[in-house]
Amino acid sequence: MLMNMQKDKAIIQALNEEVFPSLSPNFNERAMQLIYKEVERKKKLNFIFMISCISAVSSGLIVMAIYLLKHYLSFNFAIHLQIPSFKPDAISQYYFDIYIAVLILVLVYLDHLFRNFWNKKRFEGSIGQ
Amino acid sequence: MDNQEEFQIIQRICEGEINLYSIFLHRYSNAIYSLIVRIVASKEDAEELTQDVFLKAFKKLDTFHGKSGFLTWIYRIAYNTAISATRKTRQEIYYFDESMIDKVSEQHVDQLFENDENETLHHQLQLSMDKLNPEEKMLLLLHYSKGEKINDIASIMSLSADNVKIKLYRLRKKLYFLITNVDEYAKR
Repeated sequence: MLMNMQKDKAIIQALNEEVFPSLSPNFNERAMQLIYKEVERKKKLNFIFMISCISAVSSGLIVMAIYLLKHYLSFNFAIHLQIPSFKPDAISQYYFDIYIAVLILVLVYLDHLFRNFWNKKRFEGSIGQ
Repeated sequence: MDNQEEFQIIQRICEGEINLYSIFLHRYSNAIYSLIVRIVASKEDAEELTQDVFLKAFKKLDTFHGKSGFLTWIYRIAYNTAISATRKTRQEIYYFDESMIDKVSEQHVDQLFENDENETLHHQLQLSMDKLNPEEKMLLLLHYSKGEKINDIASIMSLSADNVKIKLYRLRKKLYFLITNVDEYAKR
């Protein structure tokens, strides 16, 4: 039953002789535009999805916190929160804490800057190629 | 460009280098179009479907694992897209008594199709191909025009390799029958 393709020369010839219209000259460019649009759409959808997730989780946490505070944790904040006392011997410790906090903020800002720069460079690279 | 190179390019596209997809468009758009235009007949529809095929392929690009070539993979999308499109539109259906195929002698089929210099036969074959259903046309094109292997055709058409062989075997006989009974089938 196995047929040999080379045996059916007439079918191959008939198919090769068939004349069919060709694609529009700007087909590939139009298709690429469509692809870029699809990518943009996907990015927007992802962003909306992310924002929705964050909003839902945040709302959930807020609602849960309010519920817990209202029903389970009935205490007076004024009594429980301690008034910070700045003793002279602890001041150097506070300076160190502030130094660490500033350092973290600077590093986070630098990370943000470099990420932005890297993403911009990659995007420009992909457009230019 | 071999399968491995294609797979590497696809990985880069998935990582964000979208412009590299134009390589596949330039390379395969005509192959896909030539397949679809023979199934849907309208130039405009075929062009739109070709665009759909590449868009679908782009969306599913992360599911391509490089087991087959990109062309074989995209042929599968093209096949499904073209067949779905033909199901949505009204197609002329030619009644054909399938039991007639069994009466056709294998030797006669071989003798007829061995001849590649008979212009009349080529013309008759082209007319007969128009009477095939879209799945049969696709099978014929993939095997004889695109030169796809039986296993690849099986993967494109979601059939087993044995099933493809049987279908091709019957298809040759059907073509023979349509050609030799051209007067009867021309009237339908």
